[in-house]
Amino acid sequence: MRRLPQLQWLGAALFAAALLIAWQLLAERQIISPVFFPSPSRTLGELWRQAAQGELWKPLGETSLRMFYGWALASLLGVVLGAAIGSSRAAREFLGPLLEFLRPLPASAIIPPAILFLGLSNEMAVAVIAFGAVWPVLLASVHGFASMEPQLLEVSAALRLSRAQSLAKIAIPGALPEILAGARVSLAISLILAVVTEMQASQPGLGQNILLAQRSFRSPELYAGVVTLGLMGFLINHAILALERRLLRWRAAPA
Amino acid sequence: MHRKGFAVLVLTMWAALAAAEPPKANIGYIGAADFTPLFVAKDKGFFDKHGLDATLTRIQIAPNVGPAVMSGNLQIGMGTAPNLLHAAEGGLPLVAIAGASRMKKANPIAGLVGRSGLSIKSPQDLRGKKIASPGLNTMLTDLLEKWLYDNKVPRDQVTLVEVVFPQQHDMLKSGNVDAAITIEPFRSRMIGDGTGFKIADYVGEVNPDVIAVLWMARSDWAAANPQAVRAFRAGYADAIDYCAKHPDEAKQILAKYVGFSSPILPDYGVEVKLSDLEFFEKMERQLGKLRQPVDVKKLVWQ
Repeated sequence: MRRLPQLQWLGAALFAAALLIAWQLLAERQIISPVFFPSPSRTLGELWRQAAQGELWKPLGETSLRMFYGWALASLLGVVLGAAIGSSRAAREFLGPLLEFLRPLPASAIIPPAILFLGLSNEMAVAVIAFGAVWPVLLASVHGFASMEPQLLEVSAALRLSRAQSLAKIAIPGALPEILAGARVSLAISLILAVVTEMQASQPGLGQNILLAQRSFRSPELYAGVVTLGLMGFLINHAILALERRLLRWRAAPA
Repeated sequence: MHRKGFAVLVLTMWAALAAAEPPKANIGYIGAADFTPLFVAKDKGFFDKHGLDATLTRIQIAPNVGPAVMSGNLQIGMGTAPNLLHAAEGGLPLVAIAGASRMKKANPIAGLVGRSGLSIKSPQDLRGKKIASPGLNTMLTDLLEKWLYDNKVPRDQVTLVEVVFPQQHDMLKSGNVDAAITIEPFRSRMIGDGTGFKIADYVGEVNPDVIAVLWMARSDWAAANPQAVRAFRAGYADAIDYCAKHPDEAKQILAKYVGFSSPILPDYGVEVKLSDLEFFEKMERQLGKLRQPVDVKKLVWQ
């Protein structure tokens, strides 16, 4: 049983290596013009140069912070609103249609009004990210709070728990698995939107660097930026999975 | 025998027709007064007269023109000297086949406008200010950076944010930016209604006569189609003459193609001099935007 995850890792690593080799071969044979399609060695060489000369860290930090603030705001709003809506049938009925109306709005479409209200600032970027990233957490927590076991509610009533106690001891832990799953999706959206705001609303960071590299025909730099974003996405996904395992240890482990 | 002769006749006629057919070029431009002679050449038949079957294609944003020329969608596309230099550094075989417009000190088209109420009199006063740029790493912004460099204002003491020309007025008015790098006709409107004031015609201070926009083609296409390039240049030169003689009609043709007119027209010129590119090559290296020297002689079609 323990060997299975290791085999999976090996398989994933081999597949990634095969893709890298295919990429290198395609670039070396110049099947696609190397001007637009640099080889992995040139791309990773550029990434190494940026890391060694310290050019990478500032934009990486800016993008990460922006993503994190947007995600934190989205998570906070999502859980608070989700708890309020999820625990009240009336709120669900009143707010449901409005939320369904707002949810499909593309976050990039609200950038122009956001700039009008908040200026070309980091606050504007964080607000746009939070708007786009709030939905998975919000919907997950609405569902998590609304689908609480009726017996648990009865227990809470029998123990005469206050509303706050019932929320802290029963409702939040019960909804946590769904909230965390939603938060993981939100984090990926936050990264995407951090890059979008940098490209569209002129905020410094990896997104802007990618745009400027494209404008100056520096494709190794462009791909290095894309690889960095991919690595970031991979790492944050694993970080939140680890957090999930830690926070949900109390749940019976599946066999 | 008879049928064979007929076939030969048809083939000969077809070949003659094909040879007589003028070369075709799809030409990419963006909506700006810099391209007035292009519209005039098309509208008044100057390209046809010199034997070029020209199609004009409007491209929404300038950075897409180079890749469109490379992919073969366009045979000729607008660009700036920094575009051409960066393309060369990146390994794209593009050459300048003609000039389009120039920025001259006597006829300033672009400039830096400050928000009314601020006191910005010299480059030094820009420290700590937020400046709207029509595009980072594009010619007008690079020239502003050069102006700051020449005036010993460190680049990291000003913040440049991208705001497209039509939105700059609102951003300046709302206080989101302190100054804007702008061009005609936007500049006249900003200053005219009191939103902004002129800080400097910085381009002329950096260089009194600089090439603004040029025409690029793939070097292999230009080498294989010298007749098309010559026809393009000859038709373009005629159109520039026509614009000088009939400025009002030229403005009407401009409005017909791009949807707006401009009270002031830029200076036009079909020549690209080596010194034009040498100036930008030196400037881009000084600003750290080119990492390696570029041989500008290879970038001008002979």
